[in-house]
Amino acid sequence: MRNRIWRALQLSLLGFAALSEAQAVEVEPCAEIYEAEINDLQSGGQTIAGSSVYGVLSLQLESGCILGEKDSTGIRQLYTALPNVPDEKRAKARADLFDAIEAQLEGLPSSTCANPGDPAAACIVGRQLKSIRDVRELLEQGNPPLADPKLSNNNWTVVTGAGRIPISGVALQPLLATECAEGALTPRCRTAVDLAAKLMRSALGTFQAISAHARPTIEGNAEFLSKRDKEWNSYFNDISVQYPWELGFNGWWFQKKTPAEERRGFPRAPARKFIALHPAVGFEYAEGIDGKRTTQGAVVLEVFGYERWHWKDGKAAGRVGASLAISFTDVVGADSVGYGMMFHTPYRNMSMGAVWRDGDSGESVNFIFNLDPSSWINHYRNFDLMEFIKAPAL
Amino acid sequence: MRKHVLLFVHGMGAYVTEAGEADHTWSRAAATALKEQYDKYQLVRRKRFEDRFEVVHINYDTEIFKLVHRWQEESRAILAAGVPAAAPARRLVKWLDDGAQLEDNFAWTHAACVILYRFFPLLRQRVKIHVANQIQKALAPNENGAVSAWSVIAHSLGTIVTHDVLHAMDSTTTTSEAGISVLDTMVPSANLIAMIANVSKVLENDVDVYDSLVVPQSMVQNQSCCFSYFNCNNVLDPFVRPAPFRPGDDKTTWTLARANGAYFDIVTRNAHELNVHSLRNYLVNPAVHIPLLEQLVGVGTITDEEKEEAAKLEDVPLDQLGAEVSELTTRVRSHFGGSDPDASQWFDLAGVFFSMLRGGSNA
Repeated sequence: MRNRIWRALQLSLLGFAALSEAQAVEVEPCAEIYEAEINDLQSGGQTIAGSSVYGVLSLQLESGCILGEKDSTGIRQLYTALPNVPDEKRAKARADLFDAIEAQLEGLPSSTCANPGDPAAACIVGRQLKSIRDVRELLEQGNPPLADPKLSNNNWTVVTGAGRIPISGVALQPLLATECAEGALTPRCRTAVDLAAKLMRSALGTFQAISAHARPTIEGNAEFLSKRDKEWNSYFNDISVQYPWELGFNGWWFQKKTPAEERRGFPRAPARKFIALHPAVGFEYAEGIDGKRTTQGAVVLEVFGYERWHWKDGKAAGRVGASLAISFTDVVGADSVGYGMMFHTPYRNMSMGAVWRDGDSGESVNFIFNLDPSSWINHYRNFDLMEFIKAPAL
Repeated sequence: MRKHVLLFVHGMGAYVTEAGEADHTWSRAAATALKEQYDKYQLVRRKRFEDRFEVVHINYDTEIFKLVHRWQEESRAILAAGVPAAAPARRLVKWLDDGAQLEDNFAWTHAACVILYRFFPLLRQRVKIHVANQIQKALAPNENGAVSAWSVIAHSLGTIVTHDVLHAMDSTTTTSEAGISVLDTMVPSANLIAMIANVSKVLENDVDVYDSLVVPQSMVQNQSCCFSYFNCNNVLDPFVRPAPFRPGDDKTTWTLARANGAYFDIVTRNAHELNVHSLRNYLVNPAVHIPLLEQLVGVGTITDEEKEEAAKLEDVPLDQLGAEVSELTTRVRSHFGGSDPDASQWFDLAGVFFSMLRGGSNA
């Protein structure tokens, strides 16, 4: 064990010494910015410990010299342009992007080490460079499946906390803490900082190349979610409201009929519902004691019913339904309760039907219809009132 | 390169305007509360909060409110119809006629939203897809490229909503690309999922929260939606005491995540405002915000001296606030027969706590 640790240390030191020489020929965009940042911090009286160096460098993510506005490598411009490049020019644009990404690591000593977790700098560079080339090769082949582990987004990221880059197995925070233990501006530390910047830039640049390839699938998934969202929105807000007890019963039915695995994801909104003890305001064209018919305000209670439809472009289409209903109304000379059937229409959730009602002059059959007030209120909520009431143009 | 996307997911309460639009007041206050802590540390604040994070406010209360509002409208229409014969129908719906009132209506604005989410699976699915759609839009690539870093800060009821949605997004594959989830297609796993006042266990539903994909990645759990997970609970917060989130030793993924330093189980005991359940009361505690900031901006950005200074914060100030918190705790306990409410009384607690809190703060 002791030998293995010693070997790793030797490799690490050798690797960083070699990196120092290689860096002499290539300017890292972060080098000057990092130096200025450290000088500024130190002139303000702050001592930068080795453990804080990663924190200083990570300030450059997003907006600075690592794929930000101060990044002179051109990688950012290449990947932001890639999704909009015409199909016939995409291969060339992608090749340019990968050339720029690979150039980040190409001048550095790299080695294919036997141990996949070898912490030596050359091994880290070797692993990352090989993986970048693997991705490039896959994408050049045409249309590789995104499920290929080499294209996994989780490999091509910088996990902010410890600066871990999964693809090369390096954690930048402890690495920089070790390399910068003797000072944040020592040559050894500067070399490690330059390497860290290149590793971050090349990993995140590769992620962007994969993401550009994934755009059609991402858009397809967005459509899928948007359609499901529309269906559920329609289920709750377009179709007549379900009272708590109805929602409870239909929910129980949904749980019973939908496989558990589907429920854990994004199941489709139901295409049916049961109606139970559902009251709504309505009107009854009722026969009075004198045999004359008048329209009376009523409350219609649907005792039990069923409605079904199918989903078309996120909307419920072909809605049909019926229910047994009781109509409550006050008609002189007639019972206050009538019994009948209601049929549902898709138009603003209106329902219509007929009820039988006993009265002093015998049994009468009356036409009834009911409304879904919330549906009407929602419909007219956004109307311009003045526009609505003004006289029509002649 | 895109900024680190920071999603804030609200808890129970009314987060809609009178017109039914999403009200982001809580979310903005939450981001401000985090920024206050962020600005305390020299190296952290060297980059402005706004330059580092793209804050996204996730709202699902609009969907709960729409339903309750429809119930209220239907109920009021029936009551207003003035049909004496319809007394049975009026009795059926009368209790729904103040459901959508937003002021001082804790039974509806706090307890009902929790009950509706937990016990009404259809509404839960509605909320899930609505939130997923918002998350998808926030994380989708734009003209500046793809999002390479994102995190979630969820509070209270928002912890179970976040859990259910992220599990669904990380397990759902559409027909267009079998084998890779909606989430994995778009972004790497979340840097951090911070569950503040984590009630995901007590409100667990279709997915077992200990066996879901909302767990840090490890050697035994490759498919997961985060790199690190925060479980923050304050012992003075009555909501987190029944059925706390506490994966046992038999849950290998969590045991390994803990060993890897990817699962942070943070238990605090502090009261810096009467509402000990509030997100701000959690974030003000250095035991919460220091590791949280380190995961968001990098380990080592807060110096040991700064940590020592922050640790001097008094947990429960021994002033009037301390006495008020103690009194509130006693009143809540006495409502539940002198003991802590258990999981079955949790929903009652949601209404009781906030109405007592309002009473206390008015006093």
